[in-house]
Amino acid sequence: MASKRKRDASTAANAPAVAIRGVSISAVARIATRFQSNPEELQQSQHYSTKRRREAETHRDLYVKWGVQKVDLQLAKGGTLEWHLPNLSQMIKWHFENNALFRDALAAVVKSNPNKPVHLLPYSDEYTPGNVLHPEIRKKLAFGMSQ
Amino acid sequence: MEFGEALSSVALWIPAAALLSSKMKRIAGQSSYVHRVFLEAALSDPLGICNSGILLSIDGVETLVTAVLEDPIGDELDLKSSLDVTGSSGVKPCFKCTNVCKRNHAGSKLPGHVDITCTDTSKFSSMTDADLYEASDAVHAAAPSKRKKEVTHWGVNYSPNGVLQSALVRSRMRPTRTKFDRMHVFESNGIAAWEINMLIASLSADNKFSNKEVADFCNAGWFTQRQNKTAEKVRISIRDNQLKGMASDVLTAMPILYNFVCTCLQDWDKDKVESFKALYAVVAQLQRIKVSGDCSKDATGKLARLIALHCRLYQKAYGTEAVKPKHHYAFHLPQQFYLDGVYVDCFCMERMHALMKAESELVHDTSAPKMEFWVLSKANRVLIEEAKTLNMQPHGQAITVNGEPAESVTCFASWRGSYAKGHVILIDDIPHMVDLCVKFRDRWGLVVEKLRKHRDVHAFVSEWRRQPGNNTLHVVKELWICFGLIFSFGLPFSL
Repeated sequence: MASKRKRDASTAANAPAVAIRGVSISAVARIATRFQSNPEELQQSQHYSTKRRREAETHRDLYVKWGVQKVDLQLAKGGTLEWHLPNLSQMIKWHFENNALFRDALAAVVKSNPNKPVHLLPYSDEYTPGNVLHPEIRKKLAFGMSQ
Repeated sequence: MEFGEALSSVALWIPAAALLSSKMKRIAGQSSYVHRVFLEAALSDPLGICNSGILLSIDGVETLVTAVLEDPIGDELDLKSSLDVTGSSGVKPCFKCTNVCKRNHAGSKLPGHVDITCTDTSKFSSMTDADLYEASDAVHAAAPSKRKKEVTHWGVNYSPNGVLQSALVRSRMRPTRTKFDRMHVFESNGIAAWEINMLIASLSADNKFSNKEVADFCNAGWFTQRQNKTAEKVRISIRDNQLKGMASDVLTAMPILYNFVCTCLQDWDKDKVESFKALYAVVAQLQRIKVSGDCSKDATGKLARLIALHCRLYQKAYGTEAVKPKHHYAFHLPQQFYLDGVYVDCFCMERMHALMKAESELVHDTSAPKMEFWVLSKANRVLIEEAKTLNMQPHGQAITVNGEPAESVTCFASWRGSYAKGHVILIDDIPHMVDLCVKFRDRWGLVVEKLRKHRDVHAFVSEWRRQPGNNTLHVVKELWICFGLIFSFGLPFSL
């Protein structure tokens, strides 16, 4: 019996190198035809793809630089939840190298109080993205900061 | 914390961790457990800044920098959930005191106990870290059937995964030194906001002044300047007996309403007028401490006296039923500033919410395991880009002021948040135009131009004009400037 699974571009025999999951072959064909007639749109699409790829690369790069560790948080109903927690020291180091204001301020403090520890002040809060009329509750985040 | 006044700069705060609230709710121990994990990760890293230290290149020299993790600052809700104490909703609303009960509670009648309406700080018995740990241990040791009673008695929730049960946190931090935030205690749904609303409601109930009349007074040509933006006309919205807006709107309204109370309510309810004047004195003293960075015994002692005075007058005006836990938390602020030696509030961090919100909106897939990391990654990079822009502001130009060598500084405005070139401030009841922010002899100063009164517009508003060439230098710490509020009209006003 033939599979009922819908054929899409990623399962096709001649699937492209870049995976396009869930997009039907006919949709890909239509997009390809449209790009052939509008090279400008193709250029913009490629530019957007490049930006997204770079963004993903930056995320991966920072993930390593910040020494992110996976922490398993225990859930109330059993099981664990994976939390990607950056290393605070690595983040401070990264900010020192990249944030000129932070570098100047910290350097001034260290120079004026040599051999003395600086004091990090944690702060945490919760915020809801969106606006008052349309808060995006599902994206409500608790975040912590330190200085 | 050594950054002092620069703590007001968003660029110096590092967004270090994030977690979706929907995930947080599923976690055993919720916020307290997450805080514990975050703190333990920072404290237990042997090669981290809190232990062996990190090497940073300062002026080309590799320097070892170590750090001490301070106890957190936050709003009451956040502190309560991170320490997992009952907080304002419990019988013991303050985790810094052992003997303060909620208003009118029978426990406050016991010897040595008071409730939140008490204004005598000498009667408060300070909670030590050992007391707090003992309370937490007692709740955990109690049998499940007796646990609820123990929680009520000690004011600490049962939280085996919480911060207070962490041996590492106990050995390295002092939870009773956790910091209340002045903004949430006073301005953001706090003491000042409530009293303004109560004053407006009373005026309306007495048919003395309607909401619109009070709003019209507030909007009668006052100018304000926030951060390094250009001066803008004050727009206060008062509807339904409430001042609409956020903490900054409350701060903006305070001096104008003080002026309103002094000039228009001389023949009205004396108790309410005096209470509001006392509140204004408290907020003004807080602003003085913030602007000057002076956390000395004198300055914080004066603040403590003003808070006690206001609390007494407030109870006289509105009754003890109107007293809320935040009135008690205010009593801890002076001691907190004095012990820390630095003034910190949450205005800056609240400003960062806009950045975090903007970046969160761009991430659509909340089910992705690394969603929070993406938000952090983007927010930190945007923060650095913004810091570059701030740092590019021209400054360091050598000038001479009154024959003295000085240096003009424009980033002064973004760090202080109060003064900027081209705006008007009030000195000795006379408006002055700020021409330049300067640094001289390692002190901050303003080159100001005295304004000349042109005409009186009406009883409360006058028009003032510039007098070119009539420039003088004022040392900032000696200025009586409040609220970053810039007045462009001469008023019978004393700060």
